[in-house]
Amino acid sequence: MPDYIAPTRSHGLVDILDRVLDKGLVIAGDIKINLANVELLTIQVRLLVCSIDKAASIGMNWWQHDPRLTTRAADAGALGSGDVEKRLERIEQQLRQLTERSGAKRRPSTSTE
Amino acid sequence: MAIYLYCILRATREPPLNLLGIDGTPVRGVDLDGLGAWVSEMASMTVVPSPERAKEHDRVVRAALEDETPLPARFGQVVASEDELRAILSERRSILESALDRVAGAVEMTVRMLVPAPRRAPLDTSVAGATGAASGRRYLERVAAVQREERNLLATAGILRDRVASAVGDLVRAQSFAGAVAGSSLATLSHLVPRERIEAYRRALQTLREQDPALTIMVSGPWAPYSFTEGIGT
Repeated sequence: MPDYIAPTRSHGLVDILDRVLDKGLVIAGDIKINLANVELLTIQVRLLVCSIDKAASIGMNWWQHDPRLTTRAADAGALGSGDVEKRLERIEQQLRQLTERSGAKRRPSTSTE
Repeated sequence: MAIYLYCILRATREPPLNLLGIDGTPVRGVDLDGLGAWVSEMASMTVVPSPERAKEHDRVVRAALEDETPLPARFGQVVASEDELRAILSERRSILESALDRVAGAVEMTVRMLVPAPRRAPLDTSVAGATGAASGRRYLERVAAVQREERNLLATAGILRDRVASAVGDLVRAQSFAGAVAGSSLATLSHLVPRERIEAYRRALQTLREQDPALTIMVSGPWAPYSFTEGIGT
């Protein structure tokens, strides 16, 4: 388990944010408005950074593949829909062939009537 | 010119030469009638937090920690002038002094513990589940099960805390516990550890980990005692 105890683990950004934005000495009651602003913003920054880090560490990376969130995923999405179009084209072609064949069979029979 | 506060010190001390703080502003020492503080001058009273600025804040506090344990300020403590800072701190002088005494010669070490959670069946949110004849009862049963698991998680976190606490025993001067919150399986335990015991502290946790390989703990530090400044502020 040396990795978990290694000193190199000590100063990660999430650890820093967790402390700097959430703990430590708070002075000054007379600058409450500023503090209130900072508090609101800090919480947002902390949640954002923490959640991305945490999510990535447990393998959640959907935003890398969602076409609405990344241009890379948009390309990937386009490729995917291209596949669907090809398959659709193939199916339509097969359908056309089938109808043509059955039409060809039916035509002589109608002519006999 | 606004004054940004990084930390409070037992006595006036100048920061290392060329130490830069938030937005690259030079950090200087201030004498507050015996107490010291490290500050820098800012153009504005509002400091919008960002990861970069948080790192800059921490870098200054860390530089102070090298020689003597300071009381770290939380990010964004800005006052209008040095006089205002002096007035604010002199009001709390005795509290600050006793807090500085409490942390003197020690650092903060943090143990993050992964609290094992029981496997949970997902809440049934399907249309059939929501509209079926027994759905109301079933839904409430599920909600009760989730709440029970959260209580169990908190209890497990408490047991882990006690195990870690007994492993480090007398090596720590104080502890601060942030239990696992709902939706998270991480509990955080911070210890105030005398500098000369840091290695022994790490060894004690290493031993605990070796005794129980299923235990997932991560140790970080040394930090300035951010978690041991409560009750000093407004």
